[in-house]
Amino acid sequence: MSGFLIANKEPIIIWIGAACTLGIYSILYRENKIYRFFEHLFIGLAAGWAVALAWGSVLKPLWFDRIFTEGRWWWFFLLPVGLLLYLVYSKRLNWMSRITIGLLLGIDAGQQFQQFSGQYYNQISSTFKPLVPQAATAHTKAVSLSGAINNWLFLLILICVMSYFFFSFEQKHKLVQRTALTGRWLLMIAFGAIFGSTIMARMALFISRLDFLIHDWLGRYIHFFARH
Amino acid sequence: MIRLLSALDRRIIYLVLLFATGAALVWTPVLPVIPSNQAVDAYNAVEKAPVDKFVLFGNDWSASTAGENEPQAVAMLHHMMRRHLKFGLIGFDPQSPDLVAAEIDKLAKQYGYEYGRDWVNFGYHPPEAINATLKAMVRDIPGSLGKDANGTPTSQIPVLKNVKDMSDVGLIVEVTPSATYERWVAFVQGVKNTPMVFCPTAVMAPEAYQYLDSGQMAGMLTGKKGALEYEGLVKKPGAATRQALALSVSHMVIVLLIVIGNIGYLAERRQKRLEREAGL
Repeated sequence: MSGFLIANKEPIIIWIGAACTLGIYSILYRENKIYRFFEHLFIGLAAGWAVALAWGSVLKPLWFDRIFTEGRWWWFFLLPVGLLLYLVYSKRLNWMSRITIGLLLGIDAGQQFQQFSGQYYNQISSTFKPLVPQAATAHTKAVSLSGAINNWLFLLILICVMSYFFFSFEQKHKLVQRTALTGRWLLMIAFGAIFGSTIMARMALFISRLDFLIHDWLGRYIHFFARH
Repeated sequence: MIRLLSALDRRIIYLVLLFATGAALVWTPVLPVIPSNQAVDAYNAVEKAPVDKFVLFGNDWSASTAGENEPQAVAMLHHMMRRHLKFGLIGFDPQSPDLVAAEIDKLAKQYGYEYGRDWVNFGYHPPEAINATLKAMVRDIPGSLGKDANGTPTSQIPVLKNVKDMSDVGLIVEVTPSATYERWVAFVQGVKNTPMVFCPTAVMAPEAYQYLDSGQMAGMLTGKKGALEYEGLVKKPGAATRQALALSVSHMVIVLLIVIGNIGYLAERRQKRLEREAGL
């Protein structure tokens, strides 16, 4: 039996892949038991994989081995700190879980400050763009006429979109109202572009599976579908 | 006719899409590709990466987005390996280190790559600790990661002999369908202004253009389209080139369906207005 499996490993894998793909796509026709079966199969596989990986790639090398192989016994004290989280289920002792939660929140909050500056400060400074064409200097790049027009467009769009998000006071002045309205339209255009990208992404994933079904699965047995 | 089109069963739409894209996959002429500026910038960033420096190759995707991320990763590998750049693979998704390592193994013979000497697999690291892992890597890459995916101490891996911190890194490549790129930008890229190439799924790409504008990212491959452009740039046609026509056909079908749907909607509205005016 194992000899047969080893000898036919590739076609077996392809047939399983094809069955799983078709089983999952069967939902497109209507809700059915085959789809449910494969959905549960995937969820179970993902959960099992995650547990095995949490132990094999995280807990064992980063914690267990450090204590029992490398002799760094002080890593053991992480266990009670982590277990405190489970006291959230105890009415009497759930206050103790907040020690660990507070610790994690504090670390994350601190990191968020750094992440914000690392992510956005450069973007803020990059909004300061030259608005007139200029030759290159020792400190600045050359800006062509089209580049300057581009920068003007950038500035106008930035102002319009930012003015849409002025919620602190009522927008009474007509100029502010119109700028904000333009900002809203520009945002809509951006959302349209994002939606278009989403469709492209979903179609790309579908085409990839279809490519597998046509060429890797059917192409094995029907010459017409084989990859040329 | 218009009412019939407006009330079209969604399953017929699925069938039309299936046959149109299926036919495009079977009939596969190579379409001419004009690479976008961001793909050319990505190519130039890899081309300019110093050979004596290390590349951090982040991959945080799984089988669910392999349709987009796998061709990106493979095209990027072709270019890095052709230039013989030494790199370290790291993943904050459980599946990606294994999936990418399998692709590297397929290409290793072609480019004369040897594990340990030319590249290293740092394996999977939990996404919950991504900030801490990246922050620690900035100061000491081999020390903070400790061991490779096979359990070999990083001190015994030849490719890491001259790698200590971010000053030894010449390029960052991040292939991801999630927001992990924000952490790479915030905690790693900005430390030494290391050029970073971003390979997101098409859904993620519109969020990242401002990073190109600010110079935090050197280039970007937008989903499968980006992979297609990069395959053209490195002259290694692969999955994205093969599926390009199907992607274009699927878009044309969707645009056509949107137009038909809108014609049906407008005609129905007009008919209702006429009925109202006639007092029916």
